Amino acid sequence: MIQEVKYLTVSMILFLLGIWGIFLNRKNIIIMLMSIELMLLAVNLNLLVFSVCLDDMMGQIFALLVLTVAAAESAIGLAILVVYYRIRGTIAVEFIHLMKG
Amino acid sequence: MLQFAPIVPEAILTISLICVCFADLFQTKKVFYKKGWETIWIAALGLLLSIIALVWRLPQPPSLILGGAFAEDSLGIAFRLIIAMGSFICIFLCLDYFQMGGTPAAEFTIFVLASTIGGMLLSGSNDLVLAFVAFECLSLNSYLLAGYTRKDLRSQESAAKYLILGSASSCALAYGFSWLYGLGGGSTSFQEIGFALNQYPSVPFATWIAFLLVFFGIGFKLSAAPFHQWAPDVYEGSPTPSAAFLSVSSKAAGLAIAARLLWVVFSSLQPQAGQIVQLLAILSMLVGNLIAASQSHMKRMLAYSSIGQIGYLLLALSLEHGQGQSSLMLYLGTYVFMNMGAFACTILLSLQIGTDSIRSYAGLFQTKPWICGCLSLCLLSLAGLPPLVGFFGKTYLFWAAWQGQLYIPTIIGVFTSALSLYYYLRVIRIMFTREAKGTLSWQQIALPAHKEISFSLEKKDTPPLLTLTLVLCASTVSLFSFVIGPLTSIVNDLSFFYNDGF
Repeated sequence: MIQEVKYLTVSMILFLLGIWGIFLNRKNIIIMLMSIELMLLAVNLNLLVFSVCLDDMMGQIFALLVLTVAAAESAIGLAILVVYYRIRGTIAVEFIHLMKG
Repeated sequence: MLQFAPIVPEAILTISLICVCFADLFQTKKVFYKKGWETIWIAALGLLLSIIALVWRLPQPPSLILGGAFAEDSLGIAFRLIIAMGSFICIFLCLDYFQMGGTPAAEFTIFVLASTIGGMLLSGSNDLVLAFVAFECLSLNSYLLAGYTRKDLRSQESAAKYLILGSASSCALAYGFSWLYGLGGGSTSFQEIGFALNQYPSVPFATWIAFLLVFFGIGFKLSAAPFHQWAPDVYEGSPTPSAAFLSVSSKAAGLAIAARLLWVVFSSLQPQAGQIVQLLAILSMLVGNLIAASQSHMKRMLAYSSIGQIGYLLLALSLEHGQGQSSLMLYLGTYVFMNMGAFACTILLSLQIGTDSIRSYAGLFQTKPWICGCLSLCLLSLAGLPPLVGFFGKTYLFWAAWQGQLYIPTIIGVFTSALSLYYYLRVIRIMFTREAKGTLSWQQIALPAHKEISFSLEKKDTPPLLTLTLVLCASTVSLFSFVIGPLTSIVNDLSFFYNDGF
């Protein structure tokens, strides 16, 4: 039981690191995408820990699907960034300010 | 026996999606602004068939298929019907808009169809895995829709913003789901998780964490008030048909999964969970309607107004009894037509005068009386003025909320909807009373590279499909109030979510 809590703490730390990377580090979009990947990895770790502890297969299948979705998400994210870079010439976050109320 | 009939609507959409891909591949016409007609018709036909299939499935008894992953119940079918109708209208909005902007419309229909499939599966999903995958199918296509006009910097910027914030919120949703999987004792079915959470309430703290994470993710999709910052920027930057889709179909899907999670999975957290949703509703009503009054850009104003509208819908969502559900469906059903009509008018006007700023609508009534009339109808219906359909939807919703003893949220709702009349009427007043200024025509605005397009435009100054959509929405908004009685009784007959077995 204690061991499970340790694993879950690790995954929570990973998730919080991901949030930190998105909301506090506002410099580079690539780093933000990496933080999103980190958050999804935390989700996967959580699912795997539960799956092993509860002796249930479904969590591992869920983790595989999360992996697939994470790949699709980063593919679309990088595609959008490439198109953005082509017309803007930079992907620094501080230049994303065309629309303000 | 493997049952297939409940997901026939989604299957039809998938087939038409494949057909659209092939039709686009074997496109023969070289002139790009003529492209897209076939794909539009294929997509519209698929959506129409799937609407018919949904209506056919509506009277069936509720059932679970795909090993319990997909639930077919009449409330879920009603949500799917609303999503399909929103996308059907949205398909018709896109052709003229993209032709005049010089972007092919075929891929747009592909993205709309794919995200419609995601949204429909999401409203029927009864399993964490299917819910997550369908949610991502909806979200990923929404990012692509927001960045559809590839050469427009604002569109790309809104796509980048939406992508980062949207993926972060769906990560929170996935993390909440992983906690639910563990707390439910290794089961992914909503009923079993809800049962387990009710049965062993030893870890309410962890359940609350899961609830907050999940509703953070869904509240972002709905652009409910504390999570609404992305919406005005994304609506303003993205192409207008995409904004229309984001404000109707994707929100309907978010509401469907929110309702199912709130009433099936988190039933052990009631009534506190319902109170949190009411808090979101109050915040959205206040923030949306107060900030909308100060906007000078039409699409930004519609974005804030849709934040306000989602507040009313969330208020109905948090109601415990059946009237809450039926008033939610009634208001959502009318909201589709009102909002789509307003967006259709915005597209038409922006194609004709070349800008979306409210000030440039001055005096348009003299030159374009019909479009201005339709826009006024849709806006007044959004505000909830009596002869129009929005009034009945709102009255029923507030009545249901009052019955459910939510006195303070109802009073705030009535107050803010009176407030919303101010900014809707401001647009109408500018159109009707101000003198027309010398606005640039679109020929002057169109870039030199797009000369070919602007030449083709001179012949058809009123785009036929857009006008047709506009007439459809405006007539629905004004004429449905005559059949509101039968409509309400149909909505009242919708059963609750599939929740037996335990």
